[in-house]
Amino acid sequence: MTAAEHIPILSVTGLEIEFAGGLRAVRGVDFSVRQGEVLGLVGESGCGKSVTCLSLLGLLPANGRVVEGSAMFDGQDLLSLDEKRLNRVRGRQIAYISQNSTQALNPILTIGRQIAETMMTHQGLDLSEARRRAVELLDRVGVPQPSKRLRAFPHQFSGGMNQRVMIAMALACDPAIVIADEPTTALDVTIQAQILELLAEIARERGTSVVMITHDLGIVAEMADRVAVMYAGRLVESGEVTDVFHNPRHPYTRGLLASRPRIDRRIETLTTIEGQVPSLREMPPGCPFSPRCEGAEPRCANMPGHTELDRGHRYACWNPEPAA
Amino acid sequence: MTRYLSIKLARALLTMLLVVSFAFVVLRLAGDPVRTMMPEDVSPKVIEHYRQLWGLDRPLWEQYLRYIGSALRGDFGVSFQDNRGVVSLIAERLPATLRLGIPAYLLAVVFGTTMGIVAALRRNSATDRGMMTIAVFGYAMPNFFLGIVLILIFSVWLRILPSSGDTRSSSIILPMITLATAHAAAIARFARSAMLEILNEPYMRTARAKGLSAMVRNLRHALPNALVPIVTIMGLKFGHLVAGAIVIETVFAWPGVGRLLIQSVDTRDLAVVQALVLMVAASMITANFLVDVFYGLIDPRVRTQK
Repeated sequence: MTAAEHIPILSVTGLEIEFAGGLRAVRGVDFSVRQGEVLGLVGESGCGKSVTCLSLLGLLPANGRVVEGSAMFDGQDLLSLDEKRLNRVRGRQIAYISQNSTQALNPILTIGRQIAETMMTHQGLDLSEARRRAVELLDRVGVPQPSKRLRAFPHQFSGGMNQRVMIAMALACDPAIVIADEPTTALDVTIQAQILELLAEIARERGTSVVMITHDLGIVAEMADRVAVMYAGRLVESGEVTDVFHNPRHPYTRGLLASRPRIDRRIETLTTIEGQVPSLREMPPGCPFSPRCEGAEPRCANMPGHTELDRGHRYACWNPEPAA
Repeated sequence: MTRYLSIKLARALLTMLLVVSFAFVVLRLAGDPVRTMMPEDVSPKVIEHYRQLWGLDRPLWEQYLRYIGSALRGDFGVSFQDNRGVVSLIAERLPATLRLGIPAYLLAVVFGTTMGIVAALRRNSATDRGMMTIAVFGYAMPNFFLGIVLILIFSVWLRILPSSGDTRSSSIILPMITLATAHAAAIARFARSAMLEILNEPYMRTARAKGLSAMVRNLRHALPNALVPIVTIMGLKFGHLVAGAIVIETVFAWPGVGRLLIQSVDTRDLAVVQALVLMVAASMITANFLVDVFYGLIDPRVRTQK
């Protein structure tokens, strides 16, 4: 890895997100995205991973708001930008690919129009030039007969094809970062792999960073350079994928990895993590994982700080798993 | 699209036939029109004469077939009251109804959709609450009551507008406002909820994530989608143009088909009532068909369906 690749292009610090009724969905999250890397943001549903990414682009639902923190990108704090300035970042410098592409595309506008309008907005292209570029993009993401398909509508495409369209749309303005929010959850397993490969391949070829939100550790192992594990609104462990996977220090990460079904070993029952994720209303004091943690101690009632190991491997735990 | 429209057209024609038959039967059930019209002491011979004259002595099925047959040729019979053709009688009154109804409808559509959309875009603001309070009042207030209140204010107290009839160019103002208010209020409430629903769709978040301006998002991404339900209610309201005129024309003594209908019902003028019922039904069916055509134009999922 070269030095340039270590430069963070996005640094999120102390992010706190609150929903109506004083519910803290995200509490003190720090992470960074380096140029050209794939960062896997992992956690169970509701752990705050999507909300974290949506807040960066000012896309939180109306009942949610950022109460603290900063997200430095290109010399500015994304979290304090007004709508007008945010619009210059959205789609141009940071693009967003959502889950369920078929619902995420406008049903009454043609595929071509939806891809072209991003370029018309940000790059000042006229319609015919933007359409020409859209054909190239569709061709690149593997949509057959791109110039003909430009006039098609989302309902005439399969879910996988629509997700390819979303990727084309996200890459239209050559953004620095693409945030992919579980881009394959709505797709068949065979299509999932194709879409992920496509995304990784194009990102590599253009030097685009990807933040991959997922609950699938397999995807992270295969695609990501670094991983950040979230639990109940907190970042519990992060680092290079190899470090975190081979040497997990946080008990939650370890539990997650242990509960993956393995194909290379015969096992009678799947390992599970005992208990349930606490709801936002009944968050325990201190470490949110402590009620489910086998190694919990009295001091876990205070929030543990982050301990930093080699190569940016960090974890937040008083009583970490022994190093492998 | 052609197939879609042919099906819709066939359905419209079938509905029309059902309405014709239904109106025919129901109005025949309402009693012998000749007896109702004639004084009590008139001789049976006279009654028989009129029955034969109007064909009421024939079996019901024959009357029905004759009626359908001549209706297809554009002949809806003659008024029992003054022996004039029903078609020319209605043609004489219809312009007044349209002169009142069409501007009122356009007013309702323009105000209703604008209010609804603005309220949705400024959800939970003072603008939204104010507009929706007005809409609830407009919707809840009965037409005749609003009409009377307006007459009281503008004709009786302020004496600036005529209270009834169609005598001056300003005569149209009060009935038009009254007619437009309820329609506008219904359209506004409907447009607001349609727009709010669309604004919550995942593709609207995609549009924001692409960095599109609020103007482009609302006009190109949200509005056309919201138009589908909005056009539905606009079509319904269009169908109510004639029907809605009945009350208003009575309150304001407006010389349109609404009043003609009331008069004809009073006098059991069978042919006229029947023709007017058909006209109301036809206007609703036409409006529905136009709405279906519009769906096809705006929504590619409808247009491309096999």
